[in-house]
Amino acid sequence: MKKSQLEMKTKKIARLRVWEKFNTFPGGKDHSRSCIFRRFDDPEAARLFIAASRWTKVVAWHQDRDELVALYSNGNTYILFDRFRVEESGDIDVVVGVAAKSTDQLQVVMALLAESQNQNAKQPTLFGESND
Amino acid sequence: MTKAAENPIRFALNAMNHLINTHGEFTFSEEVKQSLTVRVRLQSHPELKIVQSLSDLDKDQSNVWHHESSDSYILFRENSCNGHNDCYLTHSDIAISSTTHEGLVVAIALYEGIDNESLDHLMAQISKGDNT
Repeated sequence: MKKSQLEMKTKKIARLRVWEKFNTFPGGKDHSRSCIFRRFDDPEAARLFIAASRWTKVVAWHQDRDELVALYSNGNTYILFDRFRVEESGDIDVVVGVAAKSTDQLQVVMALLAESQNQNAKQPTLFGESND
Repeated sequence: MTKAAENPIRFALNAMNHLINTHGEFTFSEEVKQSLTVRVRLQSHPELKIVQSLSDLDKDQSNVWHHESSDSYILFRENSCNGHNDCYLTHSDIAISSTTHEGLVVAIALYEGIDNESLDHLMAQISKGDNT
């Protein structure tokens, strides 16, 4: 990042800094790199699921009120959660990005993220309706 | 002409932003409404040491504090409109930067004025890995 950018207000560039860290994911020895972006029904559940995993650690973080960009790593993958306010509508949107050294590792993380979405799945009742 | 010859107020603000933006990967920013409360809280905290300070011709203040035990820097900037565009409010914002996620959480707790007992409880939670 350029020095002139680093002299800007943190609010303006912090999100860019975390994205830049995600974009510079080193990949494998042979420069292999797989990347995927998704939206989830319950992205906060996905983030907490990753955060609670003993294999991952948070490597970069910026929070501004309800906006948050957090980058997690388990050594072989980077997992980015970007919760931001859409300028035009004012709505909150969440994008999840995963960068891995191989498609296999990418799929493992995607499976974990998918599992997180099942944690809060509505349980059917005897009458075939949701509980709430 | 060297960089140091630019507007000294702009130079000082840029230096403060640069310090925050290069210190760590864990950042927090927010607009502050209770400006006086926050300034007094930061100025009177025994563990916070002021490392950079700027007071301009409009008596607007920008200060950077260092919190050693969490290795965090806190930049608090206050700007008064002084009637420009019929606005007489003081607009303040805060930016916090830390080298660890735990340090950032502690620094945010200091800024928000969480009492020592709650802070100790928070630190205990962090050390157990409960913080996400």
